Amino acid sequence: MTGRRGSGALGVRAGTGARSGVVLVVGALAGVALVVVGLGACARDLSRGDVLDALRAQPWPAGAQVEVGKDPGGGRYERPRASGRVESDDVPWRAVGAEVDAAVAAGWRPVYAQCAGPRDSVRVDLVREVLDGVPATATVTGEVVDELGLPAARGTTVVGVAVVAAAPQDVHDPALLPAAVRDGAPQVAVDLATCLGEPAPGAGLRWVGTPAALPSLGGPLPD
Amino acid sequence: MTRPVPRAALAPAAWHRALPRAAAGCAALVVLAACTPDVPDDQTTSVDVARYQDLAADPWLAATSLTVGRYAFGTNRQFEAGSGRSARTTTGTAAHVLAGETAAAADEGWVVAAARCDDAAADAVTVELVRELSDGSVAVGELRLEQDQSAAGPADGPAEGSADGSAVDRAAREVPRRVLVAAFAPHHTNDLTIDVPPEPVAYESLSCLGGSGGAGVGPDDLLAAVQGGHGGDR
Repeated sequence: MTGRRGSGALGVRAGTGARSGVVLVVGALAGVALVVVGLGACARDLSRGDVLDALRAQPWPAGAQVEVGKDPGGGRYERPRASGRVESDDVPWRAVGAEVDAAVAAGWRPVYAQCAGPRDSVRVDLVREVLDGVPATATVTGEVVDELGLPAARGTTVVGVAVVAAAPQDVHDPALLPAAVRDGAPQVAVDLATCLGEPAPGAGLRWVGTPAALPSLGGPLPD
Repeated sequence: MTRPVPRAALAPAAWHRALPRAAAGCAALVVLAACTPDVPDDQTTSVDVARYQDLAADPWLAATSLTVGRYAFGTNRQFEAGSGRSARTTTGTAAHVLAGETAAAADEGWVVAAARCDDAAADAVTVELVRELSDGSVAVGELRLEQDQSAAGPADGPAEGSADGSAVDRAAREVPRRVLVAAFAPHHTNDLTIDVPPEPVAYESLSCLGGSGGAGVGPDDLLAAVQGGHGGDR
């Protein structure tokens, strides 16, 4: 009896201890959950500074100037952007091709190209995310110009790169983003041979894919 | 030589002079703020966004500069059309470049509706095109060749009879030409109707292209029509 009583008393104490342990564990888990939720609530919203930092961290375009302008008002907003410019002795389609190769190696995906004759201007649009959920577009152009920057038959090929990233407003409402970077867009790269191969003599204006050049000034967004 | 004036002696007088001015300035700001109309709630709607996306996705236009239809700030419910712009360089005579551009534009539904020589003494030409957007509204496109200012002259030798360097001769040169392309989509408050011609307007005989068809063909109010927009008083 004693033993049973003792056993019973021990059982009661053991049961009480187990319940206390469970309460402690549940309490600890609840505490951790509260801390996690609290940290989540305190997490800073995406800022243009974050996007600028992400652009600066991109390996391509190398040495680009990264900046953002001041919002002009009226619901419009500036998007973070990066730009670069190189000169080449090559024809535009080859010079642009070299730049696009570097972009693709850095993770960019070509979605559009437009071109005409062998020495005419060439343009290629590429896309990628510079931060999780923050898309950007890059437009690479090449044309032959003279010392005044005017189109010329003989001159220097100037290759320009313009990268524009979505602003926080675009991440909140993607209405004005190009189709290629909106959620659900097919992740298909276009075949650039249309414009980055040897053009046929007398080739007219042609293109492949859909343009995806995000302008540096966005908005206003619809209510 | 001037003696320094003690600041303590100046301060009260300066305050007396500055206070009325500051008050007047503040009052002016308040009055100006009261006179500036608020941005209307309907300045940009899903209709404007859809038209914007139509222009953004147009592979002929290939716009790098895009704006969505919106309120013209500071006006009494005046609105601006959505727009897309780009520039490229194509080598050829003016007629050849225009033919290539209008043929490419036709693949995307653009129809030549008007054209004009920009200046009787230059080879600058503007062609206006129209295109039905996905919601049935009509956008107006503008295709403009910049005047050839190259000092190098023709790449393939001078055109016949080009010694005098007239506009027609410059148009006939086989040179790289900057092509400026723009398109405008009407704001949702714009209820003007723009017709799409069943056939493209023939512009090849314009005088600046070497023809005898005068300096312009087609209507000259397309751009004004698409850029209008007002919603009446609200």
